Amino acid sequence: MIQVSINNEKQTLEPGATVQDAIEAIGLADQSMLGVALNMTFVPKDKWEKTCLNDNDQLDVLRPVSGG
Amino acid sequence: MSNIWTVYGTELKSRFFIGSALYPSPEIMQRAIRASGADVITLSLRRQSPAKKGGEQFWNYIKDLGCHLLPNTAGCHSPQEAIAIAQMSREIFQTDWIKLEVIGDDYNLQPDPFGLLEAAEALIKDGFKVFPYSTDDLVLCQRLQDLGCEVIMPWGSPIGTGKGLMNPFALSMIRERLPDVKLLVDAGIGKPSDACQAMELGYDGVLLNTAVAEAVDPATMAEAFSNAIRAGRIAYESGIMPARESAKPSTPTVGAPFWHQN
Repeated sequence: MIQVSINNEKQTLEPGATVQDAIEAIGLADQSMLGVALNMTFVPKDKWEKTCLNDNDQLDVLRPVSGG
Repeated sequence: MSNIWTVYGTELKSRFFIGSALYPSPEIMQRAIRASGADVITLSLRRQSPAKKGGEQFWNYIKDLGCHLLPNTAGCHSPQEAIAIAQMSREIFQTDWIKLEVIGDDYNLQPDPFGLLEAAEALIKDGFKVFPYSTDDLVLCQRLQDLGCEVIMPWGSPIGTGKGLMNPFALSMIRERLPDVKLLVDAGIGKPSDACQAMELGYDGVLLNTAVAEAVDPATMAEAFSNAIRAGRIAYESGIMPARESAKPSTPTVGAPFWHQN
């Protein structure tokens, strides 16, 4: 198993898990308005299924919020 | 006098860019933004926990407004963070516009000029249309123009302070030295008169959020700002008289009555 930080919370995933697997693991059903960065590098949506995670990776999953 | 102006080739009617944060409720946000007449709204990205649905609701309110979206990189302290947020924003919001913020000091929320230039250069190479939030330093603004920024947004004063234009001289100097750049005062505007002053200096627009969102009546305050911004622009285009050191009578002196006659 690998440990990945998703939005600053530790998650345990199967070895070989992808970005797509991680998003599904945290239960974000509506994925239409999500942006993802892996270790502070943007991952386009069409690469989520092909991008494998490694132990101690940091994944940020973001949504639109208000801003000034 | 045409009201239409362009930003990166996009035609806009309003010179008021408005933020979407800090309103008492999403409904009040919608009413205030509609009352502002703004064509451009700023918004952001943040981590979203699965339990909270706020992000989806917020997005629905924004979509209803039908405005151009200007996502920001608020809270980023390094070019790398700002670039990642910009790229995520482009994918989510389907726009290559980005309000670029790279913060150098947390107390003042003062832009980091070095990080700003580095991030702006990378983003422009990546095809972004960058709206940098900068200090009022002329040389920084010149460097941003050299990189290809068609819009630059110097601060009036630190974000959320409502102190108005701290350094009108510096802002005027930027206007004078960079006549071909679209300039907006961003941050620190507290009162409609501050916004009007920025427009009278020849700025092309104003971006603000807190002064409307934290007003007792945000929608009415948005209307007040809209009127002030329009008044300031019309005044600038009409040619403001130069200030003088000494008095000059406005009433004709020829034909003055007997007490001036010897």
